[in-house]
Amino acid sequence: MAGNAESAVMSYEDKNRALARRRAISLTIRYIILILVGLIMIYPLLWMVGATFKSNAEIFSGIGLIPKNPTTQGYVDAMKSYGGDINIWKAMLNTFSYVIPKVIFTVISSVITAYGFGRFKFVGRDFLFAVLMATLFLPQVVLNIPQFILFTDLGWVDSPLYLPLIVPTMFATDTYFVFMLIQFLRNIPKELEEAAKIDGCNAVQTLVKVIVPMLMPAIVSVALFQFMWGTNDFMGPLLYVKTPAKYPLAIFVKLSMDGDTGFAWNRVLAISLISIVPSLVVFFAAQDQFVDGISAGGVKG
Amino acid sequence: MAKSDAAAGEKQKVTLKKFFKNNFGFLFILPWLIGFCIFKLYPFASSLYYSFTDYNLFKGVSKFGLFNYESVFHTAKIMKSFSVTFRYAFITVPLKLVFSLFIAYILNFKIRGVNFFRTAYYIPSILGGSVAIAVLWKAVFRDEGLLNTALGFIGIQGPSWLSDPHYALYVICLLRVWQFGSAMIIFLAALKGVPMDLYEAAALDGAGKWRQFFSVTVPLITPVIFYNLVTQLVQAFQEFNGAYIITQGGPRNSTTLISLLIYNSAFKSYNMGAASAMAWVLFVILMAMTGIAFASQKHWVYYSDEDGK
Repeated sequence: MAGNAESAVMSYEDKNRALARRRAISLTIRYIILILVGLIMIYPLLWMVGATFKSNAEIFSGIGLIPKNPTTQGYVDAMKSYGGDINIWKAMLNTFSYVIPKVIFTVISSVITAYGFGRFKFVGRDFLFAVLMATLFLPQVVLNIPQFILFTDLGWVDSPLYLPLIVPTMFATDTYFVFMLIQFLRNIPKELEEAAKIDGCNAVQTLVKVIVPMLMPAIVSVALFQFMWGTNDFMGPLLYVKTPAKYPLAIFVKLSMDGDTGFAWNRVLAISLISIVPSLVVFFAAQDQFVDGISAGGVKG
Repeated sequence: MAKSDAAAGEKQKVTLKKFFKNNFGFLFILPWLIGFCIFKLYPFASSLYYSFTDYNLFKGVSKFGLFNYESVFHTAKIMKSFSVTFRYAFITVPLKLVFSLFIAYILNFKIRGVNFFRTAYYIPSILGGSVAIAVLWKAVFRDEGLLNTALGFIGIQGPSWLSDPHYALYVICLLRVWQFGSAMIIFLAALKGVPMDLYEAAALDGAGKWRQFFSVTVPLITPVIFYNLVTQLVQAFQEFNGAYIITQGGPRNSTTLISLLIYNSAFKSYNMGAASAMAWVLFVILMAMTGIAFASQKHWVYYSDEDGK
């Protein structure tokens, strides 16, 4: 009897040990996969950082990250102006001069639209909401040509104020953000708004004083994504910015690549790296908002 | 909408006032509606019109007919471009979905450093669309680039990734698959929503990890798989930046995605009519793909009763 019980306990412990071993193995495998994949994903980016400090002779002579003879020549060359009209800092300033208005207008117009759809009943609301949803699936590729013709007719192409890039955002044309905000709004209880109404707030005051503060996390997400997409956008400036002095980063980087490929890689990579620093800074400063924004559903990427 | 607007307009101002009082919310969506009409609806409709004309930015319209569509289907270069686009989409979308789901699944186990890995995988998605990353891609895959240097160390003479028509498209595809991070985060959020007791029940029934994955996880997150599938498809069919910046469509048109051809035709030779027709064919294909996806939903997408959207 006693021996039997003992052996039962033994085998139980053995089983436990085997289970623990199996768990440890599968955990190790998981970590190996994660680290390997992570390395492959991130290595090119790390290599890029190292390469900007290498001499052009060294860049493609090995795959190491750390430069053997660090030089800042790439960065020195990166500061040179391009055809006298544009340099990297001017290009960065140009980028922000339309991205920041884009972000502000997108937030304001999207919040107002989301509030209208999310909190009011009016004639044709369901139909218009269906239209709004349908534009989510309306591919930009069909709109590029007629929009270009429209902006040409309006005389907005190559406008020094970047009108074709900015003005549409005043009208909540980035439907993704409206959709995202409506999703957020649905989860916000209406009691506070009703209380505000009783206190004598009109609809606009309620929007500013009650809705906006509660929507803040979503608003931050909208602003962040619009900042990233606006900074990365290449097609927009490619079509609508023609004057070299007004080129934004996206076009400037492309130009420097076309001009320098083959001989000055450290310069090209330094320019590229500088051009993504603002996005990286914003990303690391607000990582969680990005993740929350995507997870909340309904963001492309 | 138009009907009720007109009805209100016919009566007196008082009625109009009343109408706006009852439909106050309409004022909030008015900016969007105006923008929609000017920047979406009008361009959409006019692009359909242009597609039946020989509209040229400088010469205007001189004839009207189906000729643009005929030339889409009879020009080898355009048909090839569509087939390249299909290949691009059918390579990148499944790879991106499988990869992002697989990594999200691993990350969903209680693993130390989840946030670190999540960040590492997500950064490419944030930066991937930028020109800077296209430049980096060129540096990695050029003949004497990072990849071939690495292959050289293990004694392999790497091919000319970017100038060999057999490989160039895969390089462009890889750039997209590399950006699987945002799809992964959407999957990760969905996986967190799968109740633990379901896994426990499955484990009690003797289901291993893989069995659990396919019998518990996958069915429960099919709505999110569907969402990712549709958005990725729509984006893949419209990809432009990578091919334009890295290979300019070459070598031998092996990476001329349809959006590149549309761009060249519309904005280099200003044949807006011909380009609009190509855009519309692409649009119809996209609608068909999303239509098929939506129609197939009832066979494989599982919406739970409580929180089905």
